[in-house]
Order: sequence, then C-alpha cells, then structure tokens
Amino acid sequence: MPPKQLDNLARLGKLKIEPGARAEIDGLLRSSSARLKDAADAELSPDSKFDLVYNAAHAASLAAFRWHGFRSESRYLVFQCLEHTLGISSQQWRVLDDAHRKRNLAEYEGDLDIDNALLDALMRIAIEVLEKARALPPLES
Amino acid sequence: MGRKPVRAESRRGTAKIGLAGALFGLTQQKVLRLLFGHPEKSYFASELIELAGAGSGAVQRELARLVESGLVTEWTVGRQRHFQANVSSPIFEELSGIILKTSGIPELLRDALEPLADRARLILLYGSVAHGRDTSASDVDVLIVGDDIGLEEVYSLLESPERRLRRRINPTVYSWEEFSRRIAGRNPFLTKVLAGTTVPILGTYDAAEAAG
Repeated sequence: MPPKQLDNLARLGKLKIEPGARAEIDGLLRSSSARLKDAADAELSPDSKFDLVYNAAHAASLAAFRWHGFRSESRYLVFQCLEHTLGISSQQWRVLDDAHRKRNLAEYEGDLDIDNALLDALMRIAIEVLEKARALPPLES
Repeated sequence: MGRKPVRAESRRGTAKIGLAGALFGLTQQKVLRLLFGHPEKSYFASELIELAGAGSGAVQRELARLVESGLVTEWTVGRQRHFQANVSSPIFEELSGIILKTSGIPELLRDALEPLADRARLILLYGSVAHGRDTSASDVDVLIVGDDIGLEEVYSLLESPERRLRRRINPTVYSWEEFSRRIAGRNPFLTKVLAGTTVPILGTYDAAEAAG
C-alpha cells in the first residue's frame, strides 16, 4: 500500500494525493451506514432507495479511497479504483458502473427506471464495500 | 488533414447496414454462422437448410461455393452428405473471428448464458445488433427476464463474451413480475424494445403470456 495502480493514476494527474484524516473517514463510514439503514425502509420508492444505496456505496468507497491517501472529485473514479482500494471484483464494479450510468441518465432525462436486480445487487455491494472499508485499520490521526 | 467519417451514424453506434450485412449476404451469414459457430460439428445439408430457415436452393448454392473454395469440407457417409468448417483452411481463424463478432453474437450469448436456463424465461437481444445496424462501436444490449438472477452473476457470465467480442454488453434484468408490470404500465423503454426487432436467445416473447 498504496496500490501501484493508484500511484500511476496520481502521476497522470487523474487523482490527487492528500493524506486522509481519521475523523473524515469515520464521518464517511457513518454517513454510508446511516443511508443503508434508511434504505431498508420498506415504505420507500425504488428510486429513493436507489439514491440512498448509491450514495452509501459512494461514501464507503470514498472512505477507503481517503484511507489510502487519495482524493478525487470524480465519483466514477472512486468506484473504478475499488478494485485496488478494497479488492472488489470486476463483476461488482460493473454493477456500480451500471448504477452510475443510470443515475447520470436520470439527471438529464428525469426518468429513473430502477429494476430490482440492479437495486438488490447495489445493496449487496454497498454492504460489502462498507464492511471492507470498516475493516481497514484506523489511521493515526 | 484530419479525416472525418462520412457517416455520422457510424460513430454513434448505429448504421443502415450492420457489420455482418456489409460483408455477407443473408443466407451466407446464416450458413457461415452455423458452420463456423460450431467448427467441431458436421451438418447434413437438410439440417443446415432447416436451421438456417432459408431456401433449399440458396443454401445449396452457398454450400457449393464454400466447398469449392475449400473453406468447408464435404464428405459422404452412406447416402448422407456431411458439411463441416475446414479448420485447416488458411483463413479459418480469421473467418471464425469475423463471424463470431458479427453474426455469431446470438450463439455466443446463448452459450454464455446457458447457466441461467433454469431460471430465465426470456432472453432477448435488442438494439442495434438485433437490428443488424451495429458498428464496431455498438454495445450489445440484452434483456433477461427471470426470477432469482443476480446482476453480479450475469456480469460474470458475460465477461468471456465481452472479451471475445471486444464490445461492451449491457444486460437489463427483470423478474417476471417486474416484466409483466412494466408491460401493463406501457413502460417506455420496454415498449420500445419489444416493438423493435429482437433476436431470441432463450424462449420467445408472448404478449398474451406476459399480460398474465
């Protein structure tokens, strides 16, 4: 650590190097966990659930990203790097990629047509990302 | 001195003529797809005619040309004539690759998605590939309807065909209940998919059945 591939991306200017702080990472993990809990509410529409789970996955992914000492404004890149930050499989990454595209499309076309297969897979992956991010040893400060 | 593509469509991933159509005639595609899609297998002429769903004369003519050129070998057992892709032809590898990447996509998907056969009720190819208007930049769009199918599993099954085709495959997975509900609610995406040309990979779409 840090993973070599991420160092290469930093060298290309794709992501910034900035040491993570413990409080910041804890905050992201708390936010991720709270959103996942809210998403379990059966009353919610699939669209709202999708928003919550997507953002929960992003917050936990960003926590791991910051833990490794990187920063990026691009959500896509933060997801893309999960393979290196938390050892997420390529199939899981494709689900996140799919979710990211759907979300972007919805912002422009206003129509979020979320199916259960995507929502369920996104939920499974967000939970796993959060668990793996939580398992990272705490930073010194 | 930048070169601009003449057709704007070809950059967006749809064109009037697809990759397969630009290279091969319709019957030719069907015959090549069978023979080169399964080079380990030999076919009777009658089998090829039936499987291709093309006219007997047209298929016979294609076979004669393919045998004459040495791309396909022909032999006789008893009174049956067998035809098989000739793996020792100098362009066997290249031709197989071209057929796989153009008209062989349904075959490739059928094989790759076989593990879903017990749970999927319908798998359709739609979009530019199904319309035969795909370019090398086109994604391959697949609709999968069935219960207990995880998206991660689908992506893992599609990994190998994506690598072989060097194209992105986009699956949409609906449970049967979601599928029927979307049809009943005239969901814009699904309405458009089912009104357009689709290629069945598994099962066939039956509007009455879907309406319950």
